[in-house]
Amino acid sequence: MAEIAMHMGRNRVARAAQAFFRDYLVLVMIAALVTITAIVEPKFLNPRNLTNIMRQFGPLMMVSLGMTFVIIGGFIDLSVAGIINLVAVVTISLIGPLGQIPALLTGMVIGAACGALNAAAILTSGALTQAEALFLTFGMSTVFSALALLYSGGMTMHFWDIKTSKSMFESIGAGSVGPFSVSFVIFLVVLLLLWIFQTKTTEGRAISLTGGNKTAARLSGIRILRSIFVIYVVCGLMTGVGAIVLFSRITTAAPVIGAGYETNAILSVVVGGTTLKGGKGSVLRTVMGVLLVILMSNCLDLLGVSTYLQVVTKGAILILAIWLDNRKQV
Amino acid sequence: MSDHIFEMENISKDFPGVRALDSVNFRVKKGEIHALVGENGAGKSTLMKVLSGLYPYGSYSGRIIINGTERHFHTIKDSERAGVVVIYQELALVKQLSITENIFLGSEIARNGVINWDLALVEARKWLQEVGLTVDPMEKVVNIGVGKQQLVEIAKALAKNAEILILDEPTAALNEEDSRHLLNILRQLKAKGVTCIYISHKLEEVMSIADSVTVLRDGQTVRSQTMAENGGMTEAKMISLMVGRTLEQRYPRKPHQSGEVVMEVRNWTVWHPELVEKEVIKDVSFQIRKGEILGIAGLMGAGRTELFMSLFGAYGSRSQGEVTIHGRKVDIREPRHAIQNGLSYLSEDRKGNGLVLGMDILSNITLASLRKLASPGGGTAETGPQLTRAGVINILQEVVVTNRYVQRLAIKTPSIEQKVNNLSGGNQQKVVLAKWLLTQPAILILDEPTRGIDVGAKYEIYLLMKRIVEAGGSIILISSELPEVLNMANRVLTIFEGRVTGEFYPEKTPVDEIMKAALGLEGGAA
Repeated sequence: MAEIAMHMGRNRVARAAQAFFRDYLVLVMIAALVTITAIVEPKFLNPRNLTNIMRQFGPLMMVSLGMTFVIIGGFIDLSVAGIINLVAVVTISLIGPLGQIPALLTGMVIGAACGALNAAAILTSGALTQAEALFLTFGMSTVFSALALLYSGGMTMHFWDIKTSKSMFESIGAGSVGPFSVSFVIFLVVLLLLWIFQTKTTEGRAISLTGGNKTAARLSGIRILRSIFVIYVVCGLMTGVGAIVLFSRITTAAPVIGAGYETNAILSVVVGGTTLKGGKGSVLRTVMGVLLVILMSNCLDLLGVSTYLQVVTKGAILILAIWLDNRKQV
Repeated sequence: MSDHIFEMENISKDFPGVRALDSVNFRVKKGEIHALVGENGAGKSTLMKVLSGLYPYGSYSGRIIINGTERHFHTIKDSERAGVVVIYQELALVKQLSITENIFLGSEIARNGVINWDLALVEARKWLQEVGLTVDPMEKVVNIGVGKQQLVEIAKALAKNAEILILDEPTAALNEEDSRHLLNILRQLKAKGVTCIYISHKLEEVMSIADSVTVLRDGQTVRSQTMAENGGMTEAKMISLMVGRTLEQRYPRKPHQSGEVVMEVRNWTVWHPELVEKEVIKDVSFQIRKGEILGIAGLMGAGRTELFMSLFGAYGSRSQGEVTIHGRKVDIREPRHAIQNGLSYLSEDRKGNGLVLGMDILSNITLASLRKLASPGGGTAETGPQLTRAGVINILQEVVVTNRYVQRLAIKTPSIEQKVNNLSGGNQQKVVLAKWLLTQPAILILDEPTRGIDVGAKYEIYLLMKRIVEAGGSIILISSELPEVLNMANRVLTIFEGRVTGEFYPEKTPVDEIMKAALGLEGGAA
């Protein structure tokens, strides 16, 4: 221990700087990206563009926040795309027949139920490793997507087809509270709740412990099976919320709108600094990760980089983030 | 000089805080069967890992001389090229592959990367014949018994042109008939000039097969002789050499007070998780009293860990029997039930089962108490107010409690936010101990509590154990180090092959007798 103390004294400043860059690499990257883009393309700081960004990050943020718990718990969920497809088409179709609030609640329940179904499949098959969960949820994603297609008959549904009131969804999609968009306010509330859940509750702690070392957690009396159930339900529920925010913004719901969300969500969580190995991470880090991912697409759009090349960039960043994370743990 | 096929001279090997080998000398003559005996932790395996290159040249001091020339092994491949092949206790066969594939695993008979299976089959038959096996070489390893698997291992070693064959507990998993067969094969190999190092706890076998024996104790060679020298070697002599005459004063004085029975186990039988017919624990009954340290002695693999893991609800297989705690019958199916009933289990696998290495001291110490203290009235004078209420953690209280335990156990760390990964072995063990003490257990099961930690920390853990029992707790101490058990425990149970073979009071019984019972040589009684 004396060595550690000595070490700390010797290079305190250098080490602190190193630690800052290591822990907040994402923040540094965001700052650099914003600065460069703002200089090269002044349109970036245009209020309309900023509002656009604020609206854009809603759906991805919700899904990524849910995904954070799954990853902290040491698992992964590839089914979010399927859940978005299913929740979006079912919810939009129920606004007319059931009314707005029942439709909204039904959408959230379906999301949570899909998560519960994932968990049930994992627990009953005993697929208690991340790799097994990867394949299993990938399969579930195709199931949820197929259900969405069956339900909608493959048709895209539009807001303007809904004859009854859809004011609530319109305000989720385009409304404002003071200077903030409604979706931004929803984000703040959800973030606060999830942050409390993660850092203050026994279940939140149990999830981290499960992700950190399943065996040790079980031998210490933690209900790891319950933790696994909870992470998937939280992820499903948050994905449901994300789906609602998404179709409210684009005012249509097709049974394929969720495509790509699983990769973007995992990318955001990992770039934020939550380790894929489980046990370590935070919802606040995910917020940074999502910001980076969204800002990056926005900046690259403004800079005229092709969409195809943007996908390549995302892949490269994911690899970089995992590489950095593995170096950190040596 | 020249009749020694190999010599290890002044071999020393250090691990952080522990000297595992201390100037060990080990010489083996060509064509003999040389037994290497010693207690668990005496350094036998370490010595063989040095010889096989698993601990590469440079990580130890001393010289290895084979056939007159000094050799530096950096990998296992190096030593195999020199004709040294180790067959480990856990078989290194790929179960789903055929016998032939296993025999030539890693040294396939191939040309330009294409395996010549016809030739491999012919060769495999030849080697199988050598070890007296008449099975189809295309048979999958999983389909033949453990005894035959062991012989396949030997065939595999011979296929590598082994001159020096090292067998680590080869008969540990075998029944009597297979063991006898194996020993016969070894005698035949000896007649063909293969040198054999035989590591075993089964002294009876050593007596029947070995030409010479070397005894290790605490990382030093205490005796190396032929079976005939010094008036002839006997089992009793080996035991006294292994245990040593004097037990040093490395232990605090034993408290001796025991009260009423706190836990009673009756007719406890546990079945193997995979081989459903096999009983790993057979009809075990015992009691533990308040304020008592009950020592459990026995070999690795005797069923010590299985017994207590199953009592703790963590073994994951069928078990049968009755457990009462404080006179109340309990049904423990999960570790959390055990904890609720006042049972704690410190695992022998500190890193795998005890700690969440990537997390801080705080989370690790309160790990087992989050649930227990969440119930109303769960707070005690010891922990202060409840740690959690309605599922929300009282983090301030958590910090206070953690700091108290860090101080009490003298865990050396700059802060409780330190990741346990960065702590020394001794301090890590104290964190696990703190975790279990915080659950206020009535009975604390300690499985190898001092394994791999330095002498100073060991003594602190002994003192802590003493304080726990003096405060009215009960401890079950499972240990492979017989001196530790004898010096700490008020009463000792010996376990051999899943059965209790004796109950002793260490003050009243000669060490040799306890050792014999632990080795399954004869039944003992209190």
